[in-house]
Amino acid sequence: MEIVKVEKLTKIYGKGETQVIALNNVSFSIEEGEFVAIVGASGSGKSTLLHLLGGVDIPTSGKVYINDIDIYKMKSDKLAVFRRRKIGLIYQFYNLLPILNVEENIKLPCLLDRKKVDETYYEDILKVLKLNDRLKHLPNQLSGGQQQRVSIGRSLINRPAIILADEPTGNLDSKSSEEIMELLKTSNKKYNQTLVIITHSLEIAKTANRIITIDDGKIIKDEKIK
Amino acid sequence: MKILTKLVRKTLILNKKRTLITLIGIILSCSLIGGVATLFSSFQKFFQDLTIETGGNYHLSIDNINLETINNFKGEEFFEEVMIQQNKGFYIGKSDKVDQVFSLVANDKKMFDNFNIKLDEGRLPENSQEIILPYFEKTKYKLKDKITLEIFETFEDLEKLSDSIKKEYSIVGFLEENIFSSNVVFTFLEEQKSEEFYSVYIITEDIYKIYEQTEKIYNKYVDNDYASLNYNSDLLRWYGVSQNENATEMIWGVALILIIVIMIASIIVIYNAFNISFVERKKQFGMLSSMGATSKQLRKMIFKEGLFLSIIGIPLGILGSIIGIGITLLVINNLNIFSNFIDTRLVLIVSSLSILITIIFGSLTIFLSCLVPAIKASKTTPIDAIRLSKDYFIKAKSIKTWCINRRILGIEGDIALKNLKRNKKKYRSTILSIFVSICLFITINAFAEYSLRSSLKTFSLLNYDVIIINEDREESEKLVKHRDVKRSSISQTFWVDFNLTEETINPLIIDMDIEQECFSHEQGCPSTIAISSLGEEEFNYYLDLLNESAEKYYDINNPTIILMKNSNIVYKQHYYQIPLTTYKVAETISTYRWGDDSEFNSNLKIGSIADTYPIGFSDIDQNNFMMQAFVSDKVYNFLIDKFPKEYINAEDYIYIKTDKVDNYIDYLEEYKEKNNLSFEVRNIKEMISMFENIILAISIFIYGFVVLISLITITNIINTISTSIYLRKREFGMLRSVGMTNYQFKKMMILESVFYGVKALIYGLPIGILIDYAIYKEVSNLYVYEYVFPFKSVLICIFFVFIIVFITTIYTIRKIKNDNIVDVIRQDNI
Ligand SMILES: Nc1ncnc2c1ncn2[C@@H]1O[C@H](COP(=O)(O)OP(=O)(O)OP(=O)(O)O)[C@@H](O)[C@H]1O
Ligand SMILES: [Mg+2]
Repeated sequence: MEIVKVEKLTKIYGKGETQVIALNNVSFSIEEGEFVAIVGASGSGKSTLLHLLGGVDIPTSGKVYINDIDIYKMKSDKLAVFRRRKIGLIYQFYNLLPILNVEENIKLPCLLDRKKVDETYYEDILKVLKLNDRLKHLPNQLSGGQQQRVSIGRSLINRPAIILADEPTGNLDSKSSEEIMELLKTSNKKYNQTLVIITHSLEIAKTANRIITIDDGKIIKDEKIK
Repeated sequence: MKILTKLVRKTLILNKKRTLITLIGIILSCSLIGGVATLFSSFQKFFQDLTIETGGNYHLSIDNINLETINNFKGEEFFEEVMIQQNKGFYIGKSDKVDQVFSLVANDKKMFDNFNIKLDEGRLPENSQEIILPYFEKTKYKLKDKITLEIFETFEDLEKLSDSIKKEYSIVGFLEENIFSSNVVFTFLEEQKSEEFYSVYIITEDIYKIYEQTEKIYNKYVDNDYASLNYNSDLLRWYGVSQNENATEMIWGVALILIIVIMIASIIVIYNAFNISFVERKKQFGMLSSMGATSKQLRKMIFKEGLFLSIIGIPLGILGSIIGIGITLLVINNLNIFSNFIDTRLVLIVSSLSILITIIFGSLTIFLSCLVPAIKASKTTPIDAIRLSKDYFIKAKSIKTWCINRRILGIEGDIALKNLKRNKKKYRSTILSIFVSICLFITINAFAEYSLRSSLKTFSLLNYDVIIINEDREESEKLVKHRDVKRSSISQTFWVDFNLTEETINPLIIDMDIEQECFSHEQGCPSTIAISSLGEEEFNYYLDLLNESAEKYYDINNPTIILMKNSNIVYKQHYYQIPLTTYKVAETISTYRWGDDSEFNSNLKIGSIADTYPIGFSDIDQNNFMMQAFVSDKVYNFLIDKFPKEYINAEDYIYIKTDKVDNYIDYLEEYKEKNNLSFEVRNIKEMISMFENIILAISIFIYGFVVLISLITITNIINTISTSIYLRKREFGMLRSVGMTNYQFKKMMILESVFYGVKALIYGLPIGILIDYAIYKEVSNLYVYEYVFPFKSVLICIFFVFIIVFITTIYTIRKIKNDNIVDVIRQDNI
C-alpha cells in the first residue's frame, strides 16, 4: 500500500537573480513499511524534500499525499496534530528544547497529546540510545551526538507511521551509528513503520530497500535493492 | 574603526523595530526630564511675575533719604530705574460703624508704572491735588467728589494724635477690589523738595550682582543713620538670589528629585534595551574579537549605538517636553483658577537652563544605561562566538517546576514557567520597571486620595452656596425672599460657658488625658457652647427634620436647646468628632459667661440631641472643644437680652442654598446698588469650584507624570517580550514541528505572560500598598479617616499590567505564527 505519494513537487527559494530551485518537479511514491535512503551531493535538495514530506515546509507547487491525504490542504492545527501522531522527524541539526531535560524532550510529542507514554517502549528506546544516565540533563549538558540521539528518541516515542531522518548518524562514531541504524530498522520492521533517511554513507544506503539519488533538485536515480 | 561604526549603524537599521522602541523610550525619558525642567522654569517665572503683580516691580528700596541722594542714585548706571514715593501721613475715615485709619501715599509716575495699581473706576492721579481711594469707599464717595482730609504726620493711637494739616483733594479713581486691598490711598508726587525725605524703589541692572553693587553705591552716598536699605526678598527669592531662604533652591530641589525618579525608571528601561541588543549580538562581538577587535573598540560600539540614539532622541525629547508642557499649561490656564484675583498667567518658559538640564540628565541617563552592556561587550572573548552565549547557559535546578503545574496547565504551562525561570535575568528589568510604575501609581493615587480629595471632602460638607453678612434683620428677610433661594437660614450666634466636670465629660476624652490641669479647678473645666438662632423659617424646617414638636422650644421660662451630638476635638494632632459630654436629652446645662463682668446665667434644657446640621452649619465650622446648640429666635432674643449689648455680635449671617448662584448674586449686587446698602456677599460655590480646579490642575500634573513613566515602562515590556519571543523563534519552530497546535502555542505564550505579570504584581502590589498605608498614616495625623484598602488602585494596576503584557504577547506571536517552520529552525541565531 502506498503511504507517501509525491506529485510534481517543486520548491523555489528567493526571487530573480538569487533564485534557487531546490526541488524541480519531483514525483515518486513510497510503500508502507519501505526503507528508503536518499542520497546526493551537498546542496542537491535532500533536506528540502524531507521537510516537505514532513509537513514542516511549504512547497512552491506540487502535492504531498500521506495516507491519501493532501497534507498541504490541511488546516495548520490539524497538520500539527497529524505531525505529532504520524510523523517522526529527525533534523540534520539536532533541535531540542533547551529548557526541557532529556526525558521531557523525548516524551514531548506524548506530552503535547496529553497521552500516556508507553513506558516499556520508552525503556527500550533508552537502552539503545544509551541515555539512561542522562535523563535529567539539559541539552546544553550533552555532546552533539547525545543530542542527536535524544532527537531520534523523540521521533520514535509516538511510534509514528513514518520516520523521516536527515543524516541521523552524521555526528556519531561508527559503532553508535550502527546501533542507531539498528534501532531504526528494528522499529521499521516491528511496527511496519516507513523509514526515509538522508545519508552520505553508502554503507547505510546499501542496507535500505530502495535508494533515491537526487541531483540539482531532480531524482536522477531510483533503484530498488533486492 | 570606520567599519565598526558602519556595523553599528547597520545593526540599528536592521533591528528597526527595536531601535524604534528604544528611541521612544529615550524620547519619553528626555521629554519627562525636559518637562519637569520646563515646568519648573515656567513656575519660577510665574512666581516672579506674581510677586511683581502683587508686590511691585522693584529689587530694593531705600527709605528716608533726601533729594540729593536720590539724584545721586539716578546718576548711577547700575540703578536702572529709580522710583520715588513719599509718605504723606494718615487720616481717619469716619464711618457709622468703626473709624478706620488710612495712610496717604504720594507716588511719582514711575512708581505708578511699576506697581501695577489696578483701578475699578476712574484714572490714576496726575497731580498732587488728586487722589484715588480703596473700592470700599465707593459707598461714601463718588468720582470727582472733593474731600478734605485731616492728615496726621504720625499715628499711634486714636486718642493720641500728632499735629495735623488739612488739605482738599479731588477723587479721580477707585482701586479695584482684590485680596491685597488695604487702607491705603494714593496721590501724585509732583515735586521733590530738598528738605524733605523720601523712599526710593529701585530696579537694578543685573540682579545677580545686586548685593555688592548696591552696597557700594549705598555707602558712597548715604551717610545719615535713619536711612534704611531693604532688599525685596519676596521677589529676589524667586530669582534664587535672596540672602535668606531661597524659593528657587526649594523648587529646584523638588525638580531634582523628580528628575532622579525619572532617571531611575528610564535607566532600567534603556539599559534593558541596550542589553538585549548586546546579548543578541554576542556572537557577532565574539567574532569581531576573534578577528582582532580590541575591547576598547567593542565597548565603543555600544557607546556609539547610544550616541546615535541620543542624537536623535534628546532633541526630539526636548521638543516633546516643550509641546507637552505647552499644552498642559494651556489646559491649566483654561481652568481659570485664580483669574478672579490675579492677572499673572502661567506661561511656557523655554529657558536655556531647562534645555541644558535635559541634555545633561538625558545624556547621563543614556550613558549609565549603556555602561554595563558596554563593559560586557568589551569582555567578549572569541570563544563566545563559538559557544552559545553565557546567558544561554541554563542550570537544571533553576528551572525546576512543580509537577502540579504541569498537571493543571499541561505541558504548555510547564514550558511557559520554565521559560520564565530561564529568562529571569532578562525579565528582571521589566519586572523591576513594572514594579516602579506600580509603586509610583499607588503612591500618587494615595497622595491624591488622602491629601487632595480629603480637603475637597471637607469643602463638600458646606451645605450652602452663598453667605450674606448683614446688619438689618428686616433687610435680611427681604434678601432671602427670592425665587432662586431654595433654603436659607438667618443666623446669629453668641457664646456661653458651662463647667465640664469629671462626671459630665465624655470618658473617652478623659482617656486622652487632655487638660488635666483644668480639672484641678473645683467647679471643673470651663467650656463653651455656641448658641445659634436660625431664623423662624429654617428653625421650624429643622425641627421637622428632627421630628421634634415646636412648642417646648418657644418657652422662654424654660429655654430649650437642640444640642449637636458631636464636637471637634483635636488631640495630639489627631482630629476627632465625638461627643464632648455625657449630657442626655431632658438634662439641663447651667451656663454663664466666663471671664467677663456680665451677670448672665441660664439653665438650658436639652430638648433633643441631633446629628444633622441645619443649613449654614457643619462639622468643619466648629471650634475645638466647643459644643454647638440651636434655639428658636424667641429664645435667642430672650437670652441675649440678659447681657450687655457690647458683647453681642448683631450681624446676621445668612446662609443660602440655591441652584442658580450666579443669578442670585447678580440680583444681590443689583439690589445692593439700587438701595445703597452695604451688606457683604460671599460666593462659597465659586470658592469651592476654584478649589476643585486647583486640585484638578495638580492632578493633571501628577497623573501626567505617572502616565508618562508608565509609558516608559510599556516600551520596556514591549521590548523585552518581543525580543524574548523573537530569540526563541527556533524553539517555537521545533515545538510546532513536533506537533504543537496553534492553540497550544497561544496557551503557552499567554501563560508565560500571565506568570510574568503575576510576578511583577507580587513584588509591586505589597510594596505599593505599604506606601499607601504609610501615606495614610502620615495624613491621618491631621484628619482621622478610616483606612480604606486601595482596591481601586490595585485593580487598575492588575488590569493594566495584564492588558499590556497580553497585547504585546499576542501581537508578537501573531507575527511569528505564520513563519515557515523550517525557515525558523534553520535560522542560525542564538
Ligand atoms: N531558506 C533558503 N533560502 C534560499 N536558498 C535555500 C534555502 N534553504 C535551502 N536553500 C538552497 O536550496 C538548495 C537545497 O538545499 P538543501 O538544504 O535541501 O540541500 P541538501 O541536499 O540537504 O544539502 P546538505 O547535504 O548539505 O544538507 C541549496 O542550494 C540551498 O542553498
Ligand atoms: Mg541537508
